[in-house]
Amino acid sequence: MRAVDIFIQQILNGLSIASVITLIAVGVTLIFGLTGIINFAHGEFLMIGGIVTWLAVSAGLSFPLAVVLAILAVGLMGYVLERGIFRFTLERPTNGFIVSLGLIVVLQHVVVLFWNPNQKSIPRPLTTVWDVGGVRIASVRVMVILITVAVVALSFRMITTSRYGRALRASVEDRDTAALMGIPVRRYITGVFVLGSALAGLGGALLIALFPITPFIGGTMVMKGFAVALIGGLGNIYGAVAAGLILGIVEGFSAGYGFSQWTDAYSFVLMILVLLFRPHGLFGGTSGPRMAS
Amino acid sequence: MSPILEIRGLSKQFGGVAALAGVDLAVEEGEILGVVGPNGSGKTTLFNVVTGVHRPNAGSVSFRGRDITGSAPHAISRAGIGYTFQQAMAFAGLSMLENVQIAGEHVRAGANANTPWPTPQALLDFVGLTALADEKAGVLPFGSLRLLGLALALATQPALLLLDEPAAGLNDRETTALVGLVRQLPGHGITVCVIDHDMKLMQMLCRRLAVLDFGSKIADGPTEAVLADPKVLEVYLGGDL
Repeated sequence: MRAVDIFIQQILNGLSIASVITLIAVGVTLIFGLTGIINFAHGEFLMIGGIVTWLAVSAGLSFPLAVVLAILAVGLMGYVLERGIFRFTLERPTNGFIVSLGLIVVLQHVVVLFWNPNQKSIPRPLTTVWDVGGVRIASVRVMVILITVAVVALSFRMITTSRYGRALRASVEDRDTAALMGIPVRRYITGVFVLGSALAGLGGALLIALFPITPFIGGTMVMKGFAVALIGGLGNIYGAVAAGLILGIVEGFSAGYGFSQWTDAYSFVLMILVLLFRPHGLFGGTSGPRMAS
Repeated sequence: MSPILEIRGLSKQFGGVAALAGVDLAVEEGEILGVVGPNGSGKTTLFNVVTGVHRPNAGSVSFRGRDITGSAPHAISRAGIGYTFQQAMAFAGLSMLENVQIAGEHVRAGANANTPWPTPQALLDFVGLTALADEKAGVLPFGSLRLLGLALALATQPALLLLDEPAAGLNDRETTALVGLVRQLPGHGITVCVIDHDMKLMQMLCRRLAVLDFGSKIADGPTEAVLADPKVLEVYLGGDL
């Protein structure tokens, strides 16, 4: 019995962290699919989301309000960065990638400059721990998982069934043809940046609800988010979600069975294995946007 | 009657190369105009500049009397100019029907309101792809993709349709079918401008030809007259005739 308890607890732990990583992976994969830019500063977007949440909660706001603020702030940041910087690298995605590397340093040090490099934490928004037949379940982890599931499901629905979602998928498939069909592709690119950034903002708010964060948390998170995006197939949003789920279960499993010091390695081992045997990811990715030569 | 599309002094440089060097061209409403010329003469660049894929360095393009020079591709599509690429164009991961649906969803009313194909199904019928409606575009043979490309362009309800080598890679039977379709378009209120270097095809389709060479127009007139023009024979056929 006891082994099973630990197992379930670890799976929950694994899934709650994987939720945050999935939120990053979906943003990374959407932005790559449409622009060809791998935005490595996406982890810093998440960090900013966490910092905004910390500031808001420290200022006495409630956690839900802080989450909304984090989403709005990082979404706005994504809008400004896309219009101000990434827009000009669209023809050369590699430049966009390099710009994102520079942004990592800038965003980290803006936080250090205005505040400090120390760990920041907020009081747990939910402190209840349920005891279900001997299994101790922290409600805050369940909250993180449920919010992620709801948000990802909503994004999914938007992308698969709405007119805008169809136009978005068409733009991912072939940007030039989409434009000829009257789809304002540039506006969709901005939209995807804002959506991806807002998801990262949410991820940051959820992360600081689970753990303390530093201004340098972004690197680890984006590496895992990128690994998840690659495992699922870069550019494939379904793949990112499925791979996030797989990673959560694998990490939970490993932590529960005494390999916890290896937890961080699993995502990368999995990524390496998948790429060796299925170079386009488990669910097939895109090779980035098709552009006029 | 004033032309539906009027191109004046259009120039486009790529690096130091002038792909278009001051081209003037008028497309009259209801005609099928052919633009021919050897490889690298600027035909595709001409279409790319008109449809907003590239910005011109100089010159102007006006469509139905409105200046559209340098507008974004989606705006030009919504204004009523359809375009099919030289390569097959399709959204590979989506079904044929979805492809046509998307193409029709972002049309501004009024581009060509009396389209004879009000539904995606009607368009697939017209190009003869009804049987393949639910197939993913990515698995189709090239000939079908070509027809799908035509359906996509028509779904945007164009008043003017630009076709870039529509028959490239098609066999004789497919080419004949395509010619049959394109010839019906003026009857549906769609003016056509087609690029190709297949002279047999152009003779079947066009009563008027314009010839480009090194980015300049060297001839423009009735097909027979243009094909008999020694200047055209020299650049186009290497002076062998």
